[in-house]
Amino acid sequence: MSQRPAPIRPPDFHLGLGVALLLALFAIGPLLQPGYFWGAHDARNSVYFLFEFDRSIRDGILWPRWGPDWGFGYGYPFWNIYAPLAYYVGELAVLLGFEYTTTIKLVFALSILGSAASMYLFVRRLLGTAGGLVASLIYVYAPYHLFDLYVRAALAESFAFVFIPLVFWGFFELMARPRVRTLVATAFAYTGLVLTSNVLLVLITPCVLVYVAVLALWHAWHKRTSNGHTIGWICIDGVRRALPGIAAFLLGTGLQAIFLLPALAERNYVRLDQWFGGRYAFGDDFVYFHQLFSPVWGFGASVPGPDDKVGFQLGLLPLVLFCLSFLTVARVRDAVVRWTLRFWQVVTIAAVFLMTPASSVVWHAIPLLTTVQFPWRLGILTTTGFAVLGGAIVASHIPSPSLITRKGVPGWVMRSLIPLVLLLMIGAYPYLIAEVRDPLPTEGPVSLAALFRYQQASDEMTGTTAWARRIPSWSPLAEQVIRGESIHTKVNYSAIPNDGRLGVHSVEMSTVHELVWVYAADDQQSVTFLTAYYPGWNAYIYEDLKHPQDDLKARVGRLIARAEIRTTPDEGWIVVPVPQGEHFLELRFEDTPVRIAGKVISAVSFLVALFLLALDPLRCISRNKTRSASGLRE
Amino acid sequence: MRGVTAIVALGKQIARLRYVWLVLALTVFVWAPLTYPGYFQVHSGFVPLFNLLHGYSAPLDLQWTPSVATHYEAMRDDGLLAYYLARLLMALGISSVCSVKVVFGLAWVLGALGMYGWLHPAFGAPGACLAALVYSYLPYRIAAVYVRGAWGEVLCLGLIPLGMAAASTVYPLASGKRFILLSGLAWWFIGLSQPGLAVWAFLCLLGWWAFSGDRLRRLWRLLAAGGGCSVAVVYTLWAAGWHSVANNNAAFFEHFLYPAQLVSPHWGFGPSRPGWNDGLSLGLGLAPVALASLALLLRIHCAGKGQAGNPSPGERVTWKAPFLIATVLTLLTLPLSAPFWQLSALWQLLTYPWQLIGLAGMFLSVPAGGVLHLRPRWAVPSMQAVLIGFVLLASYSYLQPRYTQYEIPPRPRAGWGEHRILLLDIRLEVEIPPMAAGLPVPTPGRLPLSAYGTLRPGDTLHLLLTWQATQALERDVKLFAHLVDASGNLVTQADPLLGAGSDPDAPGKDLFTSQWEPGRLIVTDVGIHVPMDAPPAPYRLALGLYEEETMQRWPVDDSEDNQIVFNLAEWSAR
Repeated sequence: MSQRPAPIRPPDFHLGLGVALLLALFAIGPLLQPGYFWGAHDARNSVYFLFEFDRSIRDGILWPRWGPDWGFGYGYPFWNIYAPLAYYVGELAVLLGFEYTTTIKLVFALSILGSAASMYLFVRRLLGTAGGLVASLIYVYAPYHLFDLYVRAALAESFAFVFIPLVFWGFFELMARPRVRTLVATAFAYTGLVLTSNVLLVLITPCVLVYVAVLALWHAWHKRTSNGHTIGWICIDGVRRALPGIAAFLLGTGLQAIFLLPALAERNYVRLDQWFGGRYAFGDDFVYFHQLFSPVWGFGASVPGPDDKVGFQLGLLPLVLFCLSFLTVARVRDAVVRWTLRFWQVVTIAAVFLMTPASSVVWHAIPLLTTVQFPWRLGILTTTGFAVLGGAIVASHIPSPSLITRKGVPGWVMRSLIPLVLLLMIGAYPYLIAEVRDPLPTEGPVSLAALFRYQQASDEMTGTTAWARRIPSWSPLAEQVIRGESIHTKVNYSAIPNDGRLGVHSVEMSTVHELVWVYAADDQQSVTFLTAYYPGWNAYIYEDLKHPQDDLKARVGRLIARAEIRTTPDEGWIVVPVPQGEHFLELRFEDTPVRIAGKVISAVSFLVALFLLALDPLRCISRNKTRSASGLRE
Repeated sequence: MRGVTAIVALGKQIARLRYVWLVLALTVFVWAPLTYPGYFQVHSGFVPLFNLLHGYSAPLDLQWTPSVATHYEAMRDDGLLAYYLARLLMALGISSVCSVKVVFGLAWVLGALGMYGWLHPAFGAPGACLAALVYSYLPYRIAAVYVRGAWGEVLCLGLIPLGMAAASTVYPLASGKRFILLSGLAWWFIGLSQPGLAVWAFLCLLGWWAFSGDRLRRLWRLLAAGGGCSVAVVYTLWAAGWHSVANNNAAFFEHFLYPAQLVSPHWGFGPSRPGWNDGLSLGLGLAPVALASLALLLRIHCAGKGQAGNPSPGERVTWKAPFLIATVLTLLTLPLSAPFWQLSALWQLLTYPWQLIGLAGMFLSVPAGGVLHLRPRWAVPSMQAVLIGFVLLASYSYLQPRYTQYEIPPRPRAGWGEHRILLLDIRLEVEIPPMAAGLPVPTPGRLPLSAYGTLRPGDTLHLLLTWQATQALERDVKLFAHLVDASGNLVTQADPLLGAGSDPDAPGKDLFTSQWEPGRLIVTDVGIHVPMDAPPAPYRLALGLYEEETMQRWPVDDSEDNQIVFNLAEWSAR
């Protein structure tokens, strides 16, 4: 029978966490090889996303939204719709001087250790040290996690593994012992998850909400049976009990608004067919039943049909432990923990079902699921479920919660925990491989030219906005870079007539801004920029002060007008009409009202969080004083 | 309220059978490959499917036996039960391929449940569960399905534990007459599934009975088992013809195992070869051997401490029986047992001596499950997880069959060498000549002959031939393809070594017939160029096989001809 987790005793806590991290180090092994695993599915994307992110940060944009070199230099609002947190972590390393590929490997390594720690902490809270240790190992060494790390090199999703246990830990605590600190921490954990991976917003949020609802209703039902209340009372009490969870969810949503609000409101301004159509449509990527249990492991692509060259297995040992959990969960004494485990049993089964072709009717019925892109991505839920439930196997019968006692290592540790740990690692050992190789000329060494070659060779990072009818396959900007030159301007000089009616000279340019001096003989002229239009691009006309002669930038005068922006019909490039005469034209990517609202909401939410954190100790002091006073009176 | 009570009651019933559900759930790894939307390239090839379809057309013929692409040997070949079961499934609308796979799956599930039911009174639920899983994940059984495709033998191995349970296990409330009937029925099914192996299984049952307590109490069930098995064997012999008993099997004595093979982790898809270099796994398996050894040590330890360590009172079989039987069966696979085989003539019952490994593995699974009985402290979930995980992990890498999505024809086009080489399919394509495409250079494209039309002088005809060997071939064989005109005169020909440029794992590389693995699909592409001065169509195509050393043509099976002939005009008209 399980025992309530003992109050945290530092030596045991540190020992368990230390062992979990130590054993997770083997999963980092493949990253220690010199070189980079360029052949992994998203390995190149990860590197070049970081490259682009770094460019924006170095331009002084602390919250990038625009990717200047997507689409062969035409740009794309990548960071407006793609969660950036993992790249912030990477950027720290880049700023410290690490190379891009080394940084990516560092972030992967951190994600492995972070996920081991977070799962250990979560399951330790539920089931004790031994359970936490087993859970952390299953989580790190699960086939899908290793698939994300070494076959896909999916940086964002791998980093998101850190936050999932933290999110569920937070909501568990809010249902078991609601406290203000927990509410704030949960909100931050949820924010961290969403800011790391958009896909997990769709996968985890419904799970969290259902979890809160289930526990709230269970609490209310349990109380009802002892007090004989009505169904209406149950619902009301259920809502009351769910309030802390709902509050955390709302606070977290507020904190994420800086990213989430524009990502949702402005997603239709990019060509969604490039995200969810073609090879990214979910229909061809269901996992066949036999693939869930097959030992096949490979680095090829996921192809239509049952003969994928990659492994989609659930994991032999995790599945064994999952099956055994049905024998042990009923014996868990703590009702909240027991219901949490049952919740994960149901979620895991549902996730497995949604990976298979039998669930296609569900996928078609719920359009939101298309954002997940590939059904096998639900492996992240099965991995989490297997980890949590795997911990229950060990925790269900241990006589004492400590890994070490005064008499030494207890017998149950020697008999069952150590063999189980060893077996988990041996079972995953054949999958700890990364295909390290030298970059092809279309991949590296990392540079802007390599990025353009990569885009051309792979048709990746060629996203366009909704104003483009034609997806580019090359560009004069890319040509320029390949020739060894750098991009100083995005003005389309080939669109300027030769008759001298229009003259343009670029004064300065950054990733989100260009200032040009322009002469127009009449009001019929316009300047075309090799930049894809997206909401946020604004054009301003300034007066030319004409002095000093040798410093164009110093001649920029007052703002005359905000120019109307048009686009070219096929490419969606920005076209700005200019007035007659000599002026300065500035094209700038700015925040839209939605983005500003998102920032404001995030800022306010952050302040609320700080306020709550500050308030909490005061409430504790006040409560203690009240209790002390009551004691004195008695 | 009544509904809630019913659900709770149902839940309790389900919970009581929780180890049964666990056994069923954990066998998923072995039968999951059967759910692949296609079939496998196994040693038996598509012969069971050909015969299943053939038999389905005459369902009431009690004397039907497989005859397509095979010479049926009543005692040694797959028994009739698998065909009857598959026919039943086909009658329910299931395809032939799925029916065969369902029979495989059924064998696994029944084997696991049978082991559980047989050993549950002795070892309790955890021990019986472990034994069932050890048996399910025997490398030999995995190879029998995914390498050999021996569905009769697989079904037999699946039913034997049920037969053992019916004939030997004492259940507290067992009704004597019911179990006698069950025993007879179970062994009748076992006999029908693979007669030769069933006889050996019955001999093992005799041995088990000899070591068990309450022998008299079980005597009637033993007799019923014997009777059922005998009836099945007699029926099979009657259906196949009594003459089939006397079929020679001289190769039996060339296929003993070497001791290293019993513990080798080798896994392959090749055939059994004389000597030690078998292409497939014939080991006992790491998990059964390790756990049985552990059980032996624990038993000795218990005996040394004066603890009984015996199975529960309801089942007084000693520990000696499974170890002794497994040891005897294993020794019978080694060369030193050759005199015994010669004297006893029992080799007539089996094709290979190593077919006893399946039975040996079954009896090793018994003490393997007994580990948890000998050490009750290990019956905690975490230790069970370790033991079960070890058993599954030891065989996990073997569960990668050679899948195929090839559309299986109802019967082969032709066979040679007493069905050792089957021609499954022939496709005729014509290279698109430059003139037809309006190009000055050769084109890489081809058109099916049916789309191209009539073959003309100057054309290059490609024969895409799909082959399958059903046995290992000792030598390389040549293919002849003769294009003859309407008068029967030879227009042109091609005589490549069969398998040139046809390695499925390395396109373009040669894989000649001496290297063919039974069951592997080999597609050969033979080009025949029609000379410009050739007489016009119609043409006929003659195909055959011959040996280069002797220039002797292989006769076409079930035919007096030594070639097969196609009328290309009919092909063009399709």
